[in-house]
Amino acid sequence: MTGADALFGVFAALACGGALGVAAFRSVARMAFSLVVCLSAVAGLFFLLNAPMVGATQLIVYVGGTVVLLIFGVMLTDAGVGRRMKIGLLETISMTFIAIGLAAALGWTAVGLGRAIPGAPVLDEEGVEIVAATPDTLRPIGLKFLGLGGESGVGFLLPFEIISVHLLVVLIGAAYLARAKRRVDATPETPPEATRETASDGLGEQA
Amino acid sequence: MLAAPPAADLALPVEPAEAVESVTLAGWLSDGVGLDGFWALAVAAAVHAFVLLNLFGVLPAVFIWVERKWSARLQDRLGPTRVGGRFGWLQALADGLKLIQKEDLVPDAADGLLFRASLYVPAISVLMAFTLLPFNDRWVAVASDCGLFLILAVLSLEVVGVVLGGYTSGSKWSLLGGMREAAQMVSYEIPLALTALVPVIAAGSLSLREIGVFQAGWMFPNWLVFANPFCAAAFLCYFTVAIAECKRAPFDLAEAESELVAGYFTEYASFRWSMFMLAEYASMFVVSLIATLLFLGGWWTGIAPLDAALTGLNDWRPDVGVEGFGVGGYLANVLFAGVVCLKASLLVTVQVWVRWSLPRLRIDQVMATCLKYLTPIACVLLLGATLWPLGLLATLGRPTVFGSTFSASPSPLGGAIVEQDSALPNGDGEAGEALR
Amino acid sequence: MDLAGHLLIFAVAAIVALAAPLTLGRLIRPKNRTPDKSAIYDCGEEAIGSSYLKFDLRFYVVALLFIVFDVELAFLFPWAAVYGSAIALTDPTLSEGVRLGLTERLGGHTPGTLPIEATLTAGDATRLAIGGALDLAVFFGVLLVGFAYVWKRGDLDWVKTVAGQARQDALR
Repeated sequence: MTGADALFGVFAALACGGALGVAAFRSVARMAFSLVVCLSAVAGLFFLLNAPMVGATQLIVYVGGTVVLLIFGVMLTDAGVGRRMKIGLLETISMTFIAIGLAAALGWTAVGLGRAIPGAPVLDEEGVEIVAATPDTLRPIGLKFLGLGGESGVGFLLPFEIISVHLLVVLIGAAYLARAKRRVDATPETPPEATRETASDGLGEQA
Repeated sequence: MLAAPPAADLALPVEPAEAVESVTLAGWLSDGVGLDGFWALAVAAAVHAFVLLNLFGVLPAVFIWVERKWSARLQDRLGPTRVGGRFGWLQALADGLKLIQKEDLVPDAADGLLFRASLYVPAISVLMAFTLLPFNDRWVAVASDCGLFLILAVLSLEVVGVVLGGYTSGSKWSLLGGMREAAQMVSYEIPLALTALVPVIAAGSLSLREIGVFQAGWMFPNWLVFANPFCAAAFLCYFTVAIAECKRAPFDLAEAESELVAGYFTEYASFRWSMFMLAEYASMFVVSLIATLLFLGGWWTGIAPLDAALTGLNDWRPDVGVEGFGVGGYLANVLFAGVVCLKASLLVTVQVWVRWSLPRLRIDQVMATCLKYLTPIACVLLLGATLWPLGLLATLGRPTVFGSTFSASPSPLGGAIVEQDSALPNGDGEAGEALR
Repeated sequence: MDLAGHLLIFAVAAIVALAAPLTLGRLIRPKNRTPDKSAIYDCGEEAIGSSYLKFDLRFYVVALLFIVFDVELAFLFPWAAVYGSAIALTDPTLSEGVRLGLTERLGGHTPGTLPIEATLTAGDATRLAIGGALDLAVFFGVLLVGFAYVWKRGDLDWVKTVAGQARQDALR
């Protein structure tokens, strides 16, 4: 067993433990914490695969962003930390089947891939690492965004621009949905720190 | 056996070649001591962790003392005067010892497990950020090629601990504090990253070490804050946002004592309370150190002859009985690390000064500052910094006003780039092969 | 592996360093819980009602918008590194050796592996830089459209002022 295997074991155990925690805990706050552990461990796996860029994105977008948003969503409700989620028998059974199916599909894919790690260490005939890793994983990605490199020679220029349009749609959609809900939710209950909230939402209502 | 981390030997000074060899701790352990690759790495990481953990522990103690002393001066008081002599410099340590022996209280309404667990998150996130911080061109635990992005990513974990801690306390004040904190931190991350990108464009690297090496030479115009007008504006913008990221006044809405008692850590008592404080003061230092590396010349003093003299120390290698150990090089490293820590500490002092000078904003003002001022300004700065070199190319014929740092004559300071011996590499290449 | 190992060990170190004084404190600190001590703090009064209130949704809207920006930023980092490296190469006064070194940096190659013929000229680099700037202009411009839309709709207004409401009514 090499050192990388040991590290992989630790991160994989943390990721699986976190995932199990998400499924097993009945308190939403604990689920969120398990999710943080799970996603951070997955970021660790990306670091192990010599993909610091992807790992950092995982941390900044999922752990620092999406999970916070998730906790936010829970905080917006008036359910306290004591509230336990009730899950019916039917849901448990159907979800178990889906989970087993997903695990089988992913496992089958993973086994099929073998250990083809991009930028993997180069080993000499005695199995000793002579080149540790890809020296620079960042600029090749950036160059592809500029439309260079890759098999086809045009890189990821088009996906890069499509992503921005996609994000625009997400942005507008999110703003629209949030606003629509808010109009329905216009309860007289104002948060303690709101200075003066008017019932109508102005521009959004007109639009 | 592991080779040295890739980026570590990229940017070392070219001359004198035999005096400075790139030695990482892991490499030395495996070559010199003969440890197995993995164990060399693990031991090296443990040593790094131990050294930086001490820094992580000592810095807050120092900064808490500085803050208490200086805020006292600003308010015409004396501050701590007794513990540790006339200046009370052991006050923070005494406070820590006192807090350790205080009763540990967890409110009944709280979720005990998360209440205890969540306060480790800020400390973990800040200590992980230390992993990627270079203190001079050779002292860095991990020299990653996207160090800056990694640091920002790791620092963004801090908010999770604060929000969960506030939410699971079961107290109204904690909940409100956690809520404000989440809204504030998520929004301020955007201008922070955008302004940090401005010097990255000027230096052309995300590795904090390369950015540091890039700023060698005279303070003006080599420090990135002087590189172009957008960088100077980005520095001010970054520093403002950094204060908000550390939840410091005037942006400390999450712990506003006049309205929320203590915000998200209202229910935390004894040493658990001080763990949040440790993380806060350490993160003040981290964001200041990033500001130093990105804008204020990193570990260089800014006076070219002085830097040259310090680098020249690398040649001074009296025989001390340890093979491969250069006393002069070590001394130079210590001095450069001292310079960068001094600069960062000065920025921390400015943060303290700001805290005790400006009144706290309201939550709507905090959010409007970010959403309607800092984010648009940061966007403009990024676009401006992108177009600036192109505009200069069109008018002056070169991308910088004062000439490239790279085209300066090769000095012992070196550039961020190892100058290649043109005759050395071979092979039948073609133009464009570089970008495949 | 270097990075992953370091981060893991640093995380463990942080946990150990914080748990140690807490464990030490367990031996010396008093344990004397009373119902009053384990109640939540509510300014000295008995706490009334649940601590968990319904919040206004605008907290959520802002967070949602900024997650989108977060994703966007993740793409800008590699772009900025490449653009900066290309800009450095546009300087026509660079010496051959420096130019080769910078080309290797731009392409993400190990120093000393590229043949001299692969060096980018200042003209090539300028075209690359202009392409990069256009790339960003489109990518960023599209997002700024969204930002302007959200701003215009008033989702960024934290407080709807009475004055603003009066203006709305007048418009209506």
